[in-house]
Amino acid sequence: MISSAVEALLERIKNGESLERADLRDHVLDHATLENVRLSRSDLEGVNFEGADLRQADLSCANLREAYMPGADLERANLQKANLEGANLEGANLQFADLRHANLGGATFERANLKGARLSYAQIDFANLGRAILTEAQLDNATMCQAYLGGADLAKADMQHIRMVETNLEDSNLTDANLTEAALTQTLSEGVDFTNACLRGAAFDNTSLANSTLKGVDLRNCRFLNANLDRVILTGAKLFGFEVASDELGRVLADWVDFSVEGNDRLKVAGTEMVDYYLRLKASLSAGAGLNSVRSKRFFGPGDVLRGATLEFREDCQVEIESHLENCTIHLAHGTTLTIGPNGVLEGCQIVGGGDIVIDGEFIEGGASPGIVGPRRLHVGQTGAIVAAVHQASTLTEFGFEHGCSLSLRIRKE
Amino acid sequence: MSESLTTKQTVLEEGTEIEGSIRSQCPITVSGILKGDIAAPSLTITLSGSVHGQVKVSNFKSEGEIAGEIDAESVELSGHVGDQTTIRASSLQANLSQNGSNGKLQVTFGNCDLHVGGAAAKSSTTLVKVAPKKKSVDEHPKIEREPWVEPMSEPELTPIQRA
Repeated sequence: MISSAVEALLERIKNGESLERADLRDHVLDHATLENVRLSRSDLEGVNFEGADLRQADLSCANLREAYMPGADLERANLQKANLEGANLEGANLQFADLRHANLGGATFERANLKGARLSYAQIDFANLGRAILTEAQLDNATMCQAYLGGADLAKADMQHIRMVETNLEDSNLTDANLTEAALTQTLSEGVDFTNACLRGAAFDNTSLANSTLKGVDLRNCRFLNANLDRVILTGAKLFGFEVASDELGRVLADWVDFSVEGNDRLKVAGTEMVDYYLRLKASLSAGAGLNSVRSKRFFGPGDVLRGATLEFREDCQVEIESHLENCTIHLAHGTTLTIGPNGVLEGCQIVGGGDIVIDGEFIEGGASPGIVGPRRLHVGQTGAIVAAVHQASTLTEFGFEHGCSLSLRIRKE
Repeated sequence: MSESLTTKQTVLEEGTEIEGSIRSQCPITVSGILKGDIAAPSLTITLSGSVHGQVKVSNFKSEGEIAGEIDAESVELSGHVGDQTTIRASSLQANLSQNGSNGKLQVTFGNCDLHVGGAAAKSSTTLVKVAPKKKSVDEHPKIEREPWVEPMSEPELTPIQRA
């Protein structure tokens, strides 16, 4: 039986009244017709919206913590910056819903339909998306650490710069998905279909991809450190700049692969010759005898510690640091890019010169100040943290900061 | 049951200059020049807008010029950040230009300080990372994370409003 308070509330909604900032905590509104309702910034913690019609509802910035919403229809609803932590949306319809910057931590979306949903920059850690439909969803720059995506359909999803750690993707469908520069660390990605996906510049460190299909996948400049590639199908994959242990590459299945720089299938290599070709190409590139278009690369791997060193990098050099550097001085020439990876830490160091700096790890100024002098660009990614003074270049440094980064920054100019 | 039935906002149009403080329960958009302090749920400064003073808001977005002290939950920056500016926020976003060195800078900074997220708390103690165990499908982890950051409370003052 519907209470008189709920009846009155539904009447107000029916009359087109806005309920922005309303306090509806723990209300029971299951199967209610709330299409186009305006509940922006409302407190809906613990509300029961089971089977409710919330199509095109405005729930932006609303508090929906622990809301019970299985089977709810939220097609094209606005849930930007909403807090859905621990909410239950099992089997809900969220097609084309706007969930950008929303907090979906620990929420349940099992078998939910999120086709075309906008989830850019959303926090989806610990969420259960088992068998959910996420085709053509926008997941760029989202974080999905320790989330469960077993059997999910992510075909054609935009997952650029997504961050996944210990995420379970078993048996999911990622055909034609865009995972450019995605970071998948320690994920369980066995039996995944990546056919024709774009994984350029992505990192799959310590990830198991056993029995996955990577047919026609763009793996250029992709990194697979300590990855398990047992019985992975690689036919037609584009492997220029691909980083993997040669013994792992020997365990994949491929009729042919492409090693062309452009990834246009003009440098086809038979599967039987793939490992030898890969080793030759890698050797020639590291010797500087490779293709002229390739920037020379320096990589400092995780676990290494470097103290008190002075490092100088010449023009057009690409430097990636996943190590721990203490009290080092780094000189960057113009055109050089220094990336402090997610595991990289620079403590008490100073970076000098007109190169580009990307911080996905930590930079903590110590002795010498300013810690960073004259960079052309300084970009701090969503996992990056910086505690430092920055003396800008004479032409002014270009700064980029991603949502989620941590800064304690003193910016100075001449 | 608390609620607000309005979507009104306070707008300072281009060509208008105000010296003094504004406190509002409505979002504020500044396209003109404001020299003084602002307290509101949100503040948007458009390309032609300029704000010099203390700002306390939940959401702050600037495409124009700012200087002073900014306290906000969420900050989106482009335009120019002037000298002697301090920005304190839970999250901050500023985009690089799309065309590399040939493109106009999205945001330029004078001498200023930024304090965002938990950078100050970062230290070398965070370096010790233990490799977690791989979880099976049935061992979906329990939630254990930072609490959701509630939006800043809003000042209870008479708003200056224009539809």
